Amino acid sequence: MEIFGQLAGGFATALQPINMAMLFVAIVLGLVIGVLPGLGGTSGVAILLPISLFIKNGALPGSNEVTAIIFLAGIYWGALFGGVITSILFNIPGEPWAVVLLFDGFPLAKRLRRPGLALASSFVSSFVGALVATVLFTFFALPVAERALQFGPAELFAVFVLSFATLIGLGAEAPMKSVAMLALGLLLAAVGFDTITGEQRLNFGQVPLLSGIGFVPVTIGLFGIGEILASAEEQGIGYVEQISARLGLRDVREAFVELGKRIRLVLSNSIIGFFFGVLPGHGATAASFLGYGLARQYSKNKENFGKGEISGIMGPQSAADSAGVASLVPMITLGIPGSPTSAVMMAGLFIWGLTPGPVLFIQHQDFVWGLIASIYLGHLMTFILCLLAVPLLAMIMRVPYAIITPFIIVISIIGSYSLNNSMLDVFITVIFGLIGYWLRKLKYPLAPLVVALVLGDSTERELRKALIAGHGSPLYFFNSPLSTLLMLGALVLVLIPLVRTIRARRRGAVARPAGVAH
Amino acid sequence: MRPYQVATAAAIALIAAVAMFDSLAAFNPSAGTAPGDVGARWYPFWAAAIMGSAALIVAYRVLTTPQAVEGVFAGRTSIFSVLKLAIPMLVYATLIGGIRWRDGDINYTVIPPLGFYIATALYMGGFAWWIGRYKIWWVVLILVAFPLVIFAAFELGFRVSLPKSFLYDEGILPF
Amino acid sequence: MARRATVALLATALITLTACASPAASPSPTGGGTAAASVQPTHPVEFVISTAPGGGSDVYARIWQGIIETQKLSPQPVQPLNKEGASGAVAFTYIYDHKGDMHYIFVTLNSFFTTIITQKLPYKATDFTPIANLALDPFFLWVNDDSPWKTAQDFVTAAKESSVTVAGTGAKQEDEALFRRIEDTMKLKPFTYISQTSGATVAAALAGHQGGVVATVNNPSEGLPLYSGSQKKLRPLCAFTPSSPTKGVYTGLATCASQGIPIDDYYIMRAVMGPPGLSPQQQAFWVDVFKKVNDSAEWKAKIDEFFLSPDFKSGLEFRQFLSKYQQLHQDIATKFKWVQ
Repeated sequence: MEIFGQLAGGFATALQPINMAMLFVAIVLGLVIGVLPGLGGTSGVAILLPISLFIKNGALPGSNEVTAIIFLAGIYWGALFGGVITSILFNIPGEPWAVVLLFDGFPLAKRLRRPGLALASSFVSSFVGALVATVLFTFFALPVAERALQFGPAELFAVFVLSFATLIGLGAEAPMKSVAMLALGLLLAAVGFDTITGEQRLNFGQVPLLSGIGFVPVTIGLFGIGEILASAEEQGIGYVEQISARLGLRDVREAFVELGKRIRLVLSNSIIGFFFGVLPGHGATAASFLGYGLARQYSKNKENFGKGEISGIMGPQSAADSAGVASLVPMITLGIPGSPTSAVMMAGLFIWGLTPGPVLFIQHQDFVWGLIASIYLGHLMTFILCLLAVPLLAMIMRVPYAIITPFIIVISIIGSYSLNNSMLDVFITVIFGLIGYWLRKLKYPLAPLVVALVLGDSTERELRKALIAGHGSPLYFFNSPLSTLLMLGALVLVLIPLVRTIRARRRGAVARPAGVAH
Repeated sequence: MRPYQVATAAAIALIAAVAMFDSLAAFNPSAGTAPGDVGARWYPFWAAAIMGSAALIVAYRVLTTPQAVEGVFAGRTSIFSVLKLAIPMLVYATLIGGIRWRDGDINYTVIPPLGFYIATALYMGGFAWWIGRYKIWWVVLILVAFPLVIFAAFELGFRVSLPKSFLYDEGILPF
Repeated sequence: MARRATVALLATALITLTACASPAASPSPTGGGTAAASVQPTHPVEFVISTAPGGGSDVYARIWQGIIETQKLSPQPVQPLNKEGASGAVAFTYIYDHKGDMHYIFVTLNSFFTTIITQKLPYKATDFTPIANLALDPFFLWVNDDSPWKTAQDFVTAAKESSVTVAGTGAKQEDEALFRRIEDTMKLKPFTYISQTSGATVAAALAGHQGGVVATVNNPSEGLPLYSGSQKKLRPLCAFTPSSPTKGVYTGLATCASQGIPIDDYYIMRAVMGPPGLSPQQQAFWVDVFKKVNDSAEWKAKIDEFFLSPDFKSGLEFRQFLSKYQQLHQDIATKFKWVQ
């Protein structure tokens, strides 16, 4: 097997002391960047791009372009793991793909008072996801990337419909309220600039609104600040004192046991996440929602979702991390970034004077295989660092109320500001904090809103691109075997729960008490 | 609970109506530039239509079914504890950017922008003093330490710029 | 250091409190008060980029910023800042709001013209202070490698018979402008134009025939990853330049003019501009900085790597170029009813 020889060569490159040292530095930086609000993998890699140029030019003894890419990728791995920490601890998503962890990660940490377990569960599933993706990367990078090129607008639209379909039934207690929230999410996603026609819409002439309403500021508001307001009402005890963070690795052990119980889910989500991550431009965020939907759809205890179900952490997290690794595949093999972060890494390659694409595999074998080997080593390093940090991180929840509460608001504001350097986003966060608090009081489910806001924009874009390509004919969605297959799958996914609910309704209609009284 | 539920549903329906009105161009015959494109307004129009209908159904259900008697808030104290958090937060967010606007070529300033660091110092210090009832040393420590650490991490470490004060624009302070 | 900052912080807290106490709205003159006196930046400079990190002009901005840093061309750090959204409108408005302040500069490409023309914005392209153009990025006409078309003429013949599906970055931006110009000049059936989010996804759409896309006008550097090597997916038919490329992998590529599409004057500008109302001294400071960037060996190497046409322009020459491009885009926008 030629690949094993190349991989061995890659490990020989990656294991050089300078490369290992820079990998370690990068991962620590990445973790810090992931935890810091508003500094995601994308901006983190962009910020450190100049340093990578020095590294590539041999500023350190023995460093070269392999060291530089290992450094940039290491930041990404660190951020992939670190971005979930604030989601779980403070209900503030550090990274877009960590939004879905608000649904179950935070409830497990706060309501069930198991921050350590929530963090450890997310880390172990991240690790499995990354490992699966790296193995797939090693063996199938080129053929998979070629296949991904064939995903045109019709196929991508079908993929989004599929993701929505898996999430049907979120907030099923109040179906009409869920529908209203879902539509609100779609509407918010449409605000601003329409990329297909270049027209302005729903911005009422306001230039700052042209860039749209981002889902990060909205979710930070709805969940992070909304939650703070809600716990203030519980006389401020909500957060802290009751959580007795145990110093020790008991939570980690338990997370492994829980992983064992869900290994099939985690493995299959990792594989799905990989294929999602390869699709250019969609990547980890969409994969995380799909992973959540699938975990929920195939769970025996659906009613636990949203209340701190461990599958609701492991499902999305394995898919997201796998997709994160996979987003490097089209970047390296075809020169098409699979995610915003890999777009910045690709800019790095350009700045160093390398051209990504098939040629890279031939002319710069040590580069490609050194990178692949470093993905294995990097994730192992990140994983161990994170697990060791779990008890310390869980301690954060013991900080006194009068400090932690304003601090969470401060980091919420940094998080929403620094994403686009926009004060408007800060006000969006604050206002959606109040809205989120109010909607929660009146029992409107927030998850459908967030899902629609995240996926709405791309769904509309692909739908309209497909309609243009098909000159307006809806038959275009069944134009290729691939899109037909995906569309039928989505239809089945929509129909099954619908039929099930209608049947259950009929059976339960007699026994059901009138109205929504409680 | 009922009046709150109805009012909220009505507000959602109102937002939907505004959005639908803004998107009426969806029905222009020339909507969309390319053949086959449904245009920029089609999607927001129908999203708003669905939202509005759902809100009206919610309102109708609330009006026609028995509701719990208790209100939204558990009592006065709970309203106050929320306001105690919400109002300082709004003030804090406002202080960062200040209150100013431009009319033609003249800038009007009611509150000059304090920037992120000064506003955060005031906010965190104020919170520790007022809610936490900490001793003054602790208040000062919090007030200084948090902005300083954030400044070190963001401005010096990662060179990410957070909003600056009017004193920065004058060249007096580094933040 | 820490102590100084502490003292300063306390001092400002006091100042601020007194400042807040004065309730009346007081008009203050526009512009940076101290800026006129000095001709160099006194605090860090924001280099605003109108695309996302990793997008087209982002790469150039970061290369220039790297050169400014390594050669210490500015007394204060120059920090890249991405303000993406609405094809640049967000970034332009941000710059516009910092009238007369030399601490804000931005990288511009042709969306600077098209966006300001097509969107209802309260300013014109000519309001901004021109600094310098560093290079022109040519357009090629690309097809999939399996395409039956061998020359631009084949493409024109096909496009005269029926609407050809093409892709480009954004709507009513430079790619569509060029396609509409071709359509108009050659009297073709209107292209079915599919807007993509970035140059790389445009190339990908062509490589995978996504949505039936059969042609694009990618820049040479955007098409390169899919052009070279054994698994070549794309192939350029011609270059919209006055003469054939003489360096690198594209050497000898025919010009489009020689194959019957008489367009050889359309490029993406890779330029730097500042907010409206910079004084001549402030403008001169930046022109000087970017002149040095332009003369650096690093930039010379990048020009070859990215297949750019070196074209340093500043002052009157740059101003003339800007008004020429302004007119060109204005004409296309009027002809194709881009302005409502």
